[in-house]
Amino acid sequence: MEKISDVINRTKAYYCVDCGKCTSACPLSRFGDYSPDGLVERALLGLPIQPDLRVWSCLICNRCKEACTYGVEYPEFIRGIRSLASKEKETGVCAHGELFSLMKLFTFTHEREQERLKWVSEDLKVSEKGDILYFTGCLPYFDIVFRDLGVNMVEIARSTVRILNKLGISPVVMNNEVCCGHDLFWNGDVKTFKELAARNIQNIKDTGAKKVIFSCPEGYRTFKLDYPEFFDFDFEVVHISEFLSEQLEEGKLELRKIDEKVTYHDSCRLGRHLGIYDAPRKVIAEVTDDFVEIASNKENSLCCGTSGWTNCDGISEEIRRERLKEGIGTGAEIMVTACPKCLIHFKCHMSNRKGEYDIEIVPFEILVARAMELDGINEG
Amino acid sequence: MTEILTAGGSAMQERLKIKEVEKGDLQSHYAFPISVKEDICSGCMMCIAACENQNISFDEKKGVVVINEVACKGCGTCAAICPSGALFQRFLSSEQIFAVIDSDRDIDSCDLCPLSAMDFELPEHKKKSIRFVCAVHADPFVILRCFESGADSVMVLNCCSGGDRQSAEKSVKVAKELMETMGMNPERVHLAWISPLDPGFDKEVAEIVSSIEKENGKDI
Repeated sequence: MEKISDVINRTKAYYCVDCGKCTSACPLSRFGDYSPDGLVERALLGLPIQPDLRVWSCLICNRCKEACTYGVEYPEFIRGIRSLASKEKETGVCAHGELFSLMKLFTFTHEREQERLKWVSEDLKVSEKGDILYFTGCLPYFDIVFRDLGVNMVEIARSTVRILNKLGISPVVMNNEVCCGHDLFWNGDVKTFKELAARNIQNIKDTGAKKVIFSCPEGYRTFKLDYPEFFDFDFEVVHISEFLSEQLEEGKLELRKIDEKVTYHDSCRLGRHLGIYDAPRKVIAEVTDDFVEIASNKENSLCCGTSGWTNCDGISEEIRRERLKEGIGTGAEIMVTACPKCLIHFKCHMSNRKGEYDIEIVPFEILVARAMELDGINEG
Repeated sequence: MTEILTAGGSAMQERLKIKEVEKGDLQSHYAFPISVKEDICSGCMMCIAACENQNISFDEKKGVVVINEVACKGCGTCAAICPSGALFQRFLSSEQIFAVIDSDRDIDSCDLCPLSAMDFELPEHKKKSIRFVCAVHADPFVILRCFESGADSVMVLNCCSGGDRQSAEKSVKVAKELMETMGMNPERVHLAWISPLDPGFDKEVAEIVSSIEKENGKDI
């Protein structure tokens, strides 16, 4: 079993000189007394750090990793500590626990026939076998849980399929797809994560897909960086923004301009984790003439305030407030985000403060569908 | 195994009525007012909208909510909907509820609240009942958590009606929808509005249990 010394060695935490660069970059430390290097130093000195609730506050936003000149893998360090802590039955404060229960229920032995494809409306063309697969992720479940926020999560999935249909692709969608396990993995439950991953990979292999398209940055990150550590597979994974920017280069994608002023919020997973900054911008630049960069952009982008549904507290709300204020500060009418969770978090913050924020948060896929005149075909 | 979530709302009310001020809003119906963990509260204000008695206000300076503990009836609605887990109710924190769900011990509500004592004459069914002050506490998380710990079915029983009825109905609906999408039989959750004090309570519960068992037979 992994010990804390193994975590330190694996993540090169021993290089930490307590310079505080990470703390100055950390979104949490701007509003609370959180300090990444503080936690690392405690671990190096052999002091107990597990019972500290702050272990569960980290957003895994990778800003500290970007800032660190010594190459300490802080996000990985936190994951190691969390998986040690979760073996002792310690967890953070979870906001939407039903989703975690669902993830665990997926791994229960007897195979269930899900009904996750109810969102596939009649105008959409999907297939059961083929080269290109669309991984919908948690969208059908989010749709049920977050309906009250006025976020139409399955519309993201519908838009993605409409865009692909327009490009002459009828993507495979799987009814036996399970959660990618991102939230469990980063909250320390590696065992359940592996079970989910094995199931997903087997199911994708069964469809014979060569390319898997994601609309969710978290799922994409998990497939691209975390699955290969445990499993071998030979299909290619790609985010919808990358795919569309390729299509754009080949001249296959036709976009109509919209009038609104648009800005783009880089999500942590797509941005700092995977370094995809240009692909979505390239597509958005084709959609509007009036694109404006938000103050903190690309690798300096601010987080939406919570990850893995854990420890959503006052600090998270402050982070959201700051980010939304920045968005409004650009004068844009639309803030585009590629991450469904960023969308949920911003909408939640805004719905409790009606009238305070004058900006529309639009998922990337829906914006593109709008620019292709594909939206609202089958609404309601 | 059937897990039964009961809300001993009105029964609690009678048992723990300490003193009722005849006029005005200051009533101490329940013994356990809710308290706020200020360092966790996100100031999302969802509880302010949820509190039927308007006992929660927002402290602009601190950015957290404040509960009028004297007037709080302890219904638990706010604690149930708080997304951050900042609202805390004694003996009824999520951890405590989950510990009960996971434990093998059969905790009848009679252990905790004599007036909502439930004595099921159903020896063939292993059951577990978990008491909440208010049915809103039976949110989708709690319901699904019961399945996670191996329950065959979950019954949400409540005796009072009012605003909490709506939200309990909503939670059960969300849980059912999630289960349906998941491929589980949504009939495995049952919501009923009966008080343990009602005559014929035992009979009704027995009926529900047997209908659930029948459904389960089909499902598994």
